[in-house]
Amino acid sequence: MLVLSRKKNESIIIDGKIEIKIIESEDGRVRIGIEAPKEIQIHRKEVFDEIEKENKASVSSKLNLDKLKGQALEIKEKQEKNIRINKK
Amino acid sequence: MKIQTDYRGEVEYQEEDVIHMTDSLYGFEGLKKFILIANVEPGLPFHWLQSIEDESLTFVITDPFLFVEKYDFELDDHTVDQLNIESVEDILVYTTAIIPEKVEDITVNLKSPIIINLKERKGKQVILNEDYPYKQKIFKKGEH
Repeated sequence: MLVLSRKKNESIIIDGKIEIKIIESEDGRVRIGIEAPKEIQIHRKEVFDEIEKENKASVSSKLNLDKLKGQALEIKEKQEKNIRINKK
Repeated sequence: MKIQTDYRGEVEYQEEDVIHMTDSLYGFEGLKKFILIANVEPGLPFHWLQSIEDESLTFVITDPFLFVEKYDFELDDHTVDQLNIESVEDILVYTTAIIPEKVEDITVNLKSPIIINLKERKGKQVILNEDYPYKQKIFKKGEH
């Protein structure tokens, strides 16, 4: 892993298009600002870890589907999909 | 074409049934071709998203709108571009589901649904900016 030292308000640039700036550093907590093109996904690593965990558990439950037979699931009337996209 | 599954035996599919993921599902790098295998059991809206590149890889998925009262979100522009989405009418939304031994503890992941553009047969697991849980319980009856 590449390790760099930076002070407040200093940045690093990745691949000429992603800027990571140290905004504040206090009591072992660092606030960073990130500027990147919109196609770059930025999330805390825990988010990916959680989703991976859910995905793996979903795969391991593929044989349990038949156990749902006869269970009284409370299914709602099909609802309107409330999803928004920005039309260009 | 045929694929061997451990839950429904041999399943036949056509090339046009294949859904191409623009990005791998989290934790399963490199696997991008899937087919939807519908569970025909009435009243059981849980299905399988089956990899055709690795037959042991199958996600359990469901339609979140059947269980969740208010599930609304905005798809980011990059995803809309990647999947060539022209209209919300063309997309299917699924969430992965976990069915544990104790089935009433079943949960769905509302934070990162799988979006499929049926018209283009392209899909992607997205991460929503909206604050939805990774584990949403959906079983209401007999709650302890």
